[in-house]
Amino acid sequence: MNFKINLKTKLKLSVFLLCFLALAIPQASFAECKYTPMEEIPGFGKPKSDVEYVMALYQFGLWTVGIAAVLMISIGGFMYITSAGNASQTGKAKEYIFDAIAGVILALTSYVLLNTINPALVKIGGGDYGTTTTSSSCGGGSSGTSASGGSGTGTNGGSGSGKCEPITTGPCSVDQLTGSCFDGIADLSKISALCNAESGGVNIPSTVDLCTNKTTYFSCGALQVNLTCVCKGTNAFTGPEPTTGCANFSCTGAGANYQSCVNQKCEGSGNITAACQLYKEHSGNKYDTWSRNSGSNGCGFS
Amino acid sequence: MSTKGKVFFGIALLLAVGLIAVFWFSKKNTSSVVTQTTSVNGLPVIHGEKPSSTTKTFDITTQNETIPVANIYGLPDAKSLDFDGINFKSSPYYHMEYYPKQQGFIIAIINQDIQKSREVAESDFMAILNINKDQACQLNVSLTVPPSINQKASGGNYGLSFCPNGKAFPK
Repeated sequence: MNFKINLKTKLKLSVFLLCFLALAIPQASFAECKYTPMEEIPGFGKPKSDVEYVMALYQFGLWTVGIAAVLMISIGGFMYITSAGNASQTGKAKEYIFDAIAGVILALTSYVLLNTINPALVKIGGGDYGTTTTSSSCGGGSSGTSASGGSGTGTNGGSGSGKCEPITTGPCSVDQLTGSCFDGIADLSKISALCNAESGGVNIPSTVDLCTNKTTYFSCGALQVNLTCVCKGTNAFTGPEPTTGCANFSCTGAGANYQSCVNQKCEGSGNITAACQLYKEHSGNKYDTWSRNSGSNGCGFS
Repeated sequence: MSTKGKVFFGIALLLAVGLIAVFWFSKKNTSSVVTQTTSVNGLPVIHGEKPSSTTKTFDITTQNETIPVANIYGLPDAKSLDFDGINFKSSPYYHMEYYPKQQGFIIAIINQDIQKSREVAESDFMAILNINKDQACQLNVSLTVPPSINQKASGGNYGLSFCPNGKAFPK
């Protein structure tokens, strides 16, 4: 049996090594960038992140290798059976079979190696890659529009203690924010932390942000939004409506559509979407959309 | 085929079959009931599904074990929230929510006596779920303080005070 490495084998090995490196490197580099893949990998659905996308490509590649190997072994086997003692034909058939098996072994060795280094590297659907989200140097970023005048923020809350930690559950968790309006345009870890700093991560009517009648609240927790701003022009409040940005919190009481505004903007996805809209419209440092980000005791995210 | 060739072919075939088996079974394990996603503190979040409200208990899958908890979806005062969440208990001291996707709880302190409120909340939390401290420490629990209650303590994720990851409120 000839084990001399010919040009064809060298080429195969090079391709394998390149694939291996291409798979290993993105784990470190992509972990810090937020990119929303648009196309799905056949058989693996639409990956939610760049890392999942690469892993789906990898697994798709493994299956392709497997299927191709079965096909080539079948062809080789058929050639072997029908060679009728023809030495050249038999040799060709053997080559087909051994090449196919070698291909499978090479492909699966990469899987075993990655699995040994870190099992999370070969798991579709995430896994702890041992990184935290601190993207600040990734390209892309905000695709939001510029502010429509005014420099005020659309959110409420005073200065904080400077301790801004993400929460791990509910509408403001990074897990739930993944796939939301914020995904791809903001650091979800920072949004989660700001949400915690603004409201503790829960939607509870404010007892502080009240209209002049002292009973109608205009903010309701989670990623607090100024309801007089996000429900502007819907007859949700009585009194003057904000004219510049969302800094004007004045209202005298509840309008005819107040409850409808509360139902839409004071829970889960509606609240997050409204906050995200304000984030997009904010000019300058977008994390300053929330007043808890700035000031000497603020989160200070940039 | 020579004997040497047969042996090589056999070994190669065995290796291939073995590797395929490893690949196949590890793939099956990752696509079973629970899937993992990264959380910001480095701990994985184990996804779950909304439990039926008709059973007495439901299981929460943690990294170490499955913990049966009292079915909070059947509580009379429970209020449904977006994302299949539930506000299963509120009192003058705290506000508790559960979200099945992250199989996690949020306990927000809503009384200005934050230390006492935390003690009451933690005690009630275990009583409502019918679990002990060891089990509670394995659950995904975010304990927070809104800024309107205590500006200094707001923004932190304190966890349960008796757990290894529990943090004290700032003084």
